[in-house]
Formats: sequence, structure tokens, C-alpha cells
Amino acid sequence: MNISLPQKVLAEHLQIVSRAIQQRSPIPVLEGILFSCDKQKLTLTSTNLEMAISTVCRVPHEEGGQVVLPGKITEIVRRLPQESVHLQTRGDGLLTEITGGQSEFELYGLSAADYPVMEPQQSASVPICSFSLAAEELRRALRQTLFATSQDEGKPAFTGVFFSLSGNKLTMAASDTFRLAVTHCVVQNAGGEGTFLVPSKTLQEAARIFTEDAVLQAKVYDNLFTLASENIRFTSRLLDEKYPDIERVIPQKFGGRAVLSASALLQALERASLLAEGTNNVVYLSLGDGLVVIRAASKYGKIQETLPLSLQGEGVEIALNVRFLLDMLRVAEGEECTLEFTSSSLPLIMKDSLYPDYLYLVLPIKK
Amino acid sequence: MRYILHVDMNAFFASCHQAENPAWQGKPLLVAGDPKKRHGIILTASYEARQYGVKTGIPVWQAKKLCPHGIFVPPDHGLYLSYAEKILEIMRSYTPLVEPFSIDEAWLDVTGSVRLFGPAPEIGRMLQRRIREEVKIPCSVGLAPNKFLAKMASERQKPNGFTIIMPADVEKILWPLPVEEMVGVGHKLAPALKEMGVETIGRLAAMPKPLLTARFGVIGEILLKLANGEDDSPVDPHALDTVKSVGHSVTLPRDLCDPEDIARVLLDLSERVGRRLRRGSYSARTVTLTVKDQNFVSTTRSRTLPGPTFLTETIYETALSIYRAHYEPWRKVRLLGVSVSNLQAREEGRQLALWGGSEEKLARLTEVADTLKDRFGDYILRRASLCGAESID
Repeated sequence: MNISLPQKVLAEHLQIVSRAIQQRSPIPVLEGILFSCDKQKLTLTSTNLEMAISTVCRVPHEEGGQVVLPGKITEIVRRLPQESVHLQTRGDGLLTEITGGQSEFELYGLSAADYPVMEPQQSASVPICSFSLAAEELRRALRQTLFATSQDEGKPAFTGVFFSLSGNKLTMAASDTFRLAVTHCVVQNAGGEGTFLVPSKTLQEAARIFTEDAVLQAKVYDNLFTLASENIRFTSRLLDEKYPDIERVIPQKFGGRAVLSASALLQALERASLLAEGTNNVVYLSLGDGLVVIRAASKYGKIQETLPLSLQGEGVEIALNVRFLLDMLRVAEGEECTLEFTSSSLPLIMKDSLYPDYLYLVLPIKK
Repeated sequence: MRYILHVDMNAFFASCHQAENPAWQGKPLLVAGDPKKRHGIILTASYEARQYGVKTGIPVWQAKKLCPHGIFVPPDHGLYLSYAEKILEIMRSYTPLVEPFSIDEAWLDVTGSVRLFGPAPEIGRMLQRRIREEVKIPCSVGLAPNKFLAKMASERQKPNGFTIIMPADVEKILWPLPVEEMVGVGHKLAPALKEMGVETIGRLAAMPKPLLTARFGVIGEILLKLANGEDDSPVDPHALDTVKSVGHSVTLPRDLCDPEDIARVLLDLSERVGRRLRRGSYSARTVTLTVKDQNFVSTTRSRTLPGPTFLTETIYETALSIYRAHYEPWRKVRLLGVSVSNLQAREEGRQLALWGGSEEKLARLTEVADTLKDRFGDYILRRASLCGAESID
């Protein structure tokens, strides 16, 4: 391999792929980045076997080839002067010389033949379903759901975000069994229908790497999910778990509905959270006519705060984990927040006035 | 001058059972192992039973002869722990300076509490009354300017005694006592002292220091100080900061190796542990399994859960999975023990879960079962898998 390209371009690409590198892996090649150059195209790939990220950039035609370079390459290129960077393999095709400005590095590469690929299985290389959507839409939907996933590996299904494609409507849902976030996206070029479960850890990275305003092509295979923009490709393993029926737990009726300022509620709850303690972080909401009283107490003292609201139907007195409420309010974008409720032991539903399709359901704490 | 209280629970194990079962109050009750099951001595006898001459340490058959109508119950250490914890809680409402000495006695430094709660003797009586009324456990209280005298004082009168020893009382109360009654003088020191002609604490107090140090070294000097009613050791609330745990273990009536039998015993033990845990309003994160095999080789393994639990089922499943992971099925088991540690106060309120979270249902079921057992006794409800199984008690 013998290539030259601008430092800025290479550094950017390395920054993206380095997100999937595994630190201290028992498999040495996983600590590196695969450089693969063919027909004036340089492909960088990294994987931790949970997900893979690859980027493609054009390079002036020189000698092609493949090598796995240590993860340190990202930092090295980042610190080179903003000029052209030259990479050339020597001798056995593994030892790689990197030059930029007056600086010369020699890195011990590893054989690309040992690099694992995350590709759909041959038999299932036709996607089960596919669609395209704007990166911005995906980021918005992930922002609204990811936080509600569980970190508990003992409940594997809930560590993922549930996707369901029906027609051109993509539903995304996340839950840790104590709360449930459901949102929708309108997709284009939808092919096929189906449901799939993607680990939240890999999706977090997806939300970070597709920062530009690209249109993403999504494909779902038997065990993999891929997202591709013009020059970035993201592949994630799918979770092979059964996801429970989300429709069944969303109440169709409610006894009361309150509308109030989302930012005022956020600030009041942030204050209340200072005294909401323990694993339950309990705050009490008394939703009444024209007013909500927020209370919290701990061994250090107590807080009470009132906010105006407009109420339809019956009020309620309900105890909730304040962290669950804050999680949603922090991603809410509309001016107003709607609360729907029935009793102290039935779910509270929160809605963001800017996204009527977004629903967040929180189960209360029962005395 | 400091005000130190020493509180000593009277016949603590027996009192716990009597507090738990009001019907047993005022009756001779004996906490004992089952001789058929290879552990048969009296651990504690209630004061009612002591009138018949029953003493700690005598074999069960002898106790039965002395007190044939006595109520014999197996020991339940989880129960004692939960009572001890409740008592400590009451103590800590008067001062943070509480030093538990063992499960049934503790020192309190109430010097700084006088301004809040009134004179020290009043605090002592208040504490005694609250422990008797709120926890239903009798105790003897000693009040003195130091830990040694406080403990000597609480020993004076049992049960339900209240004794004050002030520096001026040392001569009158302490000195006439035989030297073996002195705290710190055991079956080794007492004969040695008597050999030197020291029969009473008063004689010890009058001994020349060089004579004592020559014979006993540093201990001699300490003994002399104590005999004179001097002790400046502080009440250390952290002196006994060991791992807090709730556990049950049982030496099986016969060695077991059938995994199903072992699972049943683990369930029984887990249920007892779970119930103690819940009664104390605790949840725990770590489950420990102790197994002693037929060769008396004892092994202990622990597992820490992702979150705290108070459910019998979770304790049981964890204990069973530890058993499966660490013990070869062919090893015959003589003793099994399940304990939980990493305790924390259980929170009020329960976070509800979606999809009828099985934990939520279990928690509700457990709550109902506990309420029934509290009202009608532990045998009102039995797990089907434990019915017909031989009892481990």
C-alpha cells in the first residue's frame, strides 16, 4: 500500500472509525483499524464484534493493499501537521511508514487476513426489510428513546431499542420496564416489513457518527442492521430476544390531562430532585385544578413547589421517580408538556408539544 | 465526668422468641438444638425456665427432665439479629455513640445527650422502658462514669435491673464482690489471683502495683485500675463494625446429596432469611452460600446481585445457582447455610413495572404472605414444595 491524502481528511475518518475499536481485546487485530485501498478508494474499518464502522474516501491512484494498523494511528494522524500524510507499507507489507511534515513513524501492522468481517450471512444476504431516512430524523428518534433502555444485562431485551417497520412508518421503542418511550419516523423507500431489536450501546455510536445532514440507507438482515450514508457505513449486531407487546401497556383512556410549561416543570423537578433520594428518587405530584404541587423529602429536609397548569378531567396524587421524569423533559423540545394520568397506581404519560407522536410512559411508585 | 450506660438484654434469645410469640410470654422457654439432629444443648433459657434449674449449656434431655413442660424452640439467629438491630435503633435515638459489644449488649455514651433528654438516670430508664415496650425485650441497665463500671452495674440486677455506680459507690458496691465477678477476670485469671490471696475486688484494688505487674505484666496494671473503678476507654461506635448480614444455617438430619433435597433445604433457608430481612425492612445485594460436606470441609461462596432484593425467590435462585456452580453433585452435604449481606434499608414504596413484571407480582404476593404469617404464625402458609418434606428444624 502506498497512498497520500490530506491530514485533515484522514484524521476525520479515523476519528469516526475509532469509535468501534475495542481497547485491550483478546484478539489483537480488534485493537487496530483495517486500512484497505483499492481502485483509488481507501476504506477504514473497525469493529468490536458488536458493531462495525467503516468509512470510504477517495485517494489519488497509487499502490493498493491492506493492513491493520494499531489504534494509536488515530492519535498519530491527529497530531501530524496539516499537510499531506503519506502511508507506505514496507518489506512484508505489514511494517508501515507514516510521514507527515518532518515526522516519520514506523508502525508494526497486523495482517488484514485475520480481520473479522461483520457481514450478513450468505444465505440471508437479501435484507428482510430496508428503508431510508434523514440522519437528523434518526438522531431525533434516538434522543427520544435511547435513555429509556435498561443497563441491566440480566434483562437483555431491554438493553436494546425496538424497531418496527410497517409501510412507511418506523416505530422505535425503548423501555427498562419502569418507563417506556415510543416515537415514530416517516421513512422513504420502505421495502418489506418487520421488527428488530438493536443494542442501545451501538445505537449510541450511530447517533454520534452520522452528524451530517445525510440521507441514510437502512437494511435489516437476519442478525445485522446496517446504516449507510455516502461514505460511512455502520453495522450492528441485532439482539436475538423477544420484545414484549408495547401496544398492550399503553393506556387508551385516561382520567385527567394537564398541560404545563415544559421548561418550568423541568426546573422545578431539577430542584426537587436535590432532595429525592434512594434508588427510587421519589417525588410526589399533586395534580389539581389549575395547579400542580411538587414535593420531595429526604433526611436532609423537604421541598415544596407549585406550578400553574390547565387541567381537564380529574386530578391525581402520584409518586414517581424524578430521574425518569427529568430524562424525558431534558430531551423535550416543545414549549409545553402534556401529562395524562388516571390513578396513583397507573402509568403517567408525558408528551412533548412539538412531537405529538412521541409518547413517554412512566410507572409510579406505589406506597 | 462522663455518663456511660451499659445495656444488657436479659435471656436475649429466649426473650426474642417470647416477643415474637406473645403466647409464650411468662412461660418457661428453652432455645435448643434438636439432639436427634446432632445438635442438642440448651443455648438460652428464659427466666421462667431458669427457676427449674435449667442452665445454658446443659443437654436437652437433662433440661426436659428438669422442666418437662418447657417450650423448646430451635435457635433463629436472623430473628435475634433483627431484634438487635431494632434495639440499636432505639439506642441511637439518644446518642450516636453506641458501641455494640455483642448481639445482646451495648454501651452508650450519653454525656452529650443530657441537655437534650434530661439527666442520665432518666435517659437510662427511658431507654429501658422503650426497649421493653417497643421491642418487648427486657434488659438490665447500668449507669456509671466509665464502661467498666457501667458493665459491672448492669450485671448487678437481672432481669430488668437498673443500677448506678458512681465513683463514691465503688467501695460499697464493687469491692465486696468476689474477684471472679469482675469483667475481664475469667477462669484463668481468677485462680491465679486467688493464689495470691486476692478473693475480692477490694483486695485486688489494694494490691501493690509491682506485685501485680510482676505476675501478670501489663494486664496487672489494667486490673488494678479497673478494680479501683478507673477506666478511660472511649465508647467506640465502630468497634464492632463487621459485615452486617442475615443468615440461617442448618446441620442436616442426615447427609444429603440429592440435588432436589438440597434445593428444598436452600428454599427453606432462603425463606427464613428473606422473612428476617423483610421484617427488618432491609434489602440485600450479596448472597452467600456455606456448604459443609461429609468430611467437615466447609466452603463459602458469595454472589453480588445487580440490585438489592428482599425476595425469598431471588435469594433462593442465587443460592441454588452458587451451589450448582461451585459444588460437585456427588459431594454429600452435612451443613447448608444461606446468608445475605450488603444490607440497606428497604425503601418505602415500590417502583411498579410494565408487563406485569414478575418481581412486582412476587413482591405483592410476599407482602400478603408475610402479613398472614405475622398474624397467624409462620405455619399458616407453606410452600407446596416444602410440604411433606422433612423439616430441617
